[in-house]
Amino acid sequence: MNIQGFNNYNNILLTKQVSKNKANTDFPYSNTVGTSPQNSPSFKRKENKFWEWIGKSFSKIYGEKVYNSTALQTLSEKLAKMNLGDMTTHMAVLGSTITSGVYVTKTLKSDKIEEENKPALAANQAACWAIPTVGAYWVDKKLKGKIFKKWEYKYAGFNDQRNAMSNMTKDQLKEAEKQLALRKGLFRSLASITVFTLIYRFITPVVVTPFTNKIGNYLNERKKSKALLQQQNAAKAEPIQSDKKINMAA
Amino acid sequence: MMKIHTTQNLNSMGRKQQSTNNVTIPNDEIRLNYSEQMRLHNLPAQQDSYESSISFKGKKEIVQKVVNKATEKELKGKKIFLSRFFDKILDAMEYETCVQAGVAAIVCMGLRPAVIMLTPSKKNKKDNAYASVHSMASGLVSVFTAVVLTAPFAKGLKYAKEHKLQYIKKDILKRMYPNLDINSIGPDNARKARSEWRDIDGIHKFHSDFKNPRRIATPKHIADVSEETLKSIGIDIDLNAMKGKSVNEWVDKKGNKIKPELRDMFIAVKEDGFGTNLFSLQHIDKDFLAEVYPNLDINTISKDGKRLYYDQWKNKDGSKFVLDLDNIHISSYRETASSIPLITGRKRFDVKDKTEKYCSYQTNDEVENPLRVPEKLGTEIKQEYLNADAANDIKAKLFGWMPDIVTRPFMASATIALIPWIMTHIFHMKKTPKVENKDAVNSSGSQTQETTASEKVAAERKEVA
Repeated sequence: MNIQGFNNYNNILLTKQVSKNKANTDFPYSNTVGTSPQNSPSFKRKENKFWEWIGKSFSKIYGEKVYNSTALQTLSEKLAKMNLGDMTTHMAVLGSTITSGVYVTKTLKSDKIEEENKPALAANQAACWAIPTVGAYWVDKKLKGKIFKKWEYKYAGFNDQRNAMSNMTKDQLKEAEKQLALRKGLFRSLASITVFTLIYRFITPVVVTPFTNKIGNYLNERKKSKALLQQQNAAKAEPIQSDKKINMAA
Repeated sequence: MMKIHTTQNLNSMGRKQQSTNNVTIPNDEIRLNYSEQMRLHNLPAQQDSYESSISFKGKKEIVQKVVNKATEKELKGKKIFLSRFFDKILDAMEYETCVQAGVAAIVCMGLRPAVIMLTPSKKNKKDNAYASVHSMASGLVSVFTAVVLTAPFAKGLKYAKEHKLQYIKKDILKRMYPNLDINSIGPDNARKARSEWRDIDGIHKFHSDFKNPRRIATPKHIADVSEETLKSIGIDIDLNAMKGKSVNEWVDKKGNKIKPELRDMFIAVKEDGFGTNLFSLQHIDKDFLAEVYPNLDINTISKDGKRLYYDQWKNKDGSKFVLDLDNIHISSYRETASSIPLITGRKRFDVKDKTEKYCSYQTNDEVENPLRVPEKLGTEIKQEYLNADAANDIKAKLFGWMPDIVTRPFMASATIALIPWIMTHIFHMKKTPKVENKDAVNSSGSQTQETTASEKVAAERKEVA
């Protein structure tokens, strides 16, 4: 099907179709729809051969096996019944949990970090996972109900109107509807993934990490001043023995 | 019995408006009871059959009309949402892990370095530059690993769904799509093309999408739509000549009473717990209509399975049903860029939200004219279908992300190992030598700051010593 030529539909100006009378004076679509090349609906271009080959190959070794597995179908149905909410956000969190887990483990096992600093560093890393995770879920929930849903409807409405107002053939319209269905389904996931990634990769290092560092440093300082105080007290009680300890520490 | 209130145009204009369930309705006075409104406007009570049948005992709620007025605010974001760039981003979302890495790359390679460089530092500028490049390197690593390790699997999954679905086992197909007539797909050794598959209702073609129901332009009150729009639905009228007249008195240019098609005529119904919604007289569910117009003899609205024009409908007492055209709303994309799902009043119990919702319909029938309200309804989207769709979604997401999840420990270790190498060999940068614990383990995206934390710990340890 030739869908390239169809993109020229925007030459059919809606000014011809949209009324200019009273009812439309507060609705300036005649100036905003169909007059700019960017308003043409976009369709997927032909996939490059390499990616098509990748798709075919991985479909055989992975995709078809996933779809043909009764066990995986049962698992998916059971998870669906649990009403877990948006899987995109859960998977992003699961990935982050694994990564943070690895970093914490590596910190605790590292030879290059002194034993006494390990718990504080590990706790810092854990906090840098926990705080943004809770924050990201909260922000996502707040935005999803109010803003993302509204944007999704807006996106669908703008596209519906554009598709309706263009002089598409049946096939072109069908293709446009198919694309819109796919894209609309991905709208909220895009919004959620952007929120989670921004919080994990920007808010965490810029805001959360310095904050947890300060707490960590404060706790370290307190721990060390306590130890120092104990040492001093011990030195007062047993001056000879504590001298030996200080010498060893030095 | 369910409480349903019809909406009536009582010719009150220019009042404050309040939003209810995506539509705007006038408030205050419209909530006065019917007779009070009649008194206020000094209008005789209309003789419409359903109006006279409305009980004014108990809760009194009359909605004059639904106002769907496009404003500049509603048009905000139009350029972005209709841009090819935005469509491309949404297309890329089929590879969620790659989009996540892409967003991370934008943050790590642009936003974060900018913040680091702009933040006044106690340390030297070289350290800031090092931190910025470190952030860029981490962004680079995440994009590279996402594209190389996870994209091929996601691509394979997508390819299988698009091209190999017809070869999936019948029992799984049935579970994935309860709306599919499994006998229409052909035997296992000679499966038919997907375009030939039929819906279980025996009427429609099979359609796998439940997330994108048939939508229509949000209807506007007939008095607010343009002449051109009315012309597009077959009403050639001079609106200037009709000024001040009730819609019931409107005549076209030939002097005939206007007769909009049934599918184009929407009535606004306010129902407890559902807000105000608009229903096409062509598609509105029979039982629902019977509750909206209790005096209407519901058996007279259709003949041989086809819905008759409203002027042939009869009341229970045998008298002619009279529809007040002042209550009619018209749906057209010429009037608005806002769209709503086409509903009929049929309901389903939503398992997720634990509440009743109106059913919407699939887009499995071709639309002759997308500017008009469709003549036929697609498959009704039942809760059973949505449950199956939720499982399909989980399967696609779970196994789209699985390669990313499985390789995460390796990727985390690789990031720790690769970043110092990238810093040295690609960016030719080294941290100032005062750092002791340069190789302290970092968490995702916070390498710089956590290195600083270990530095501080080391410095404090020195001070104490």
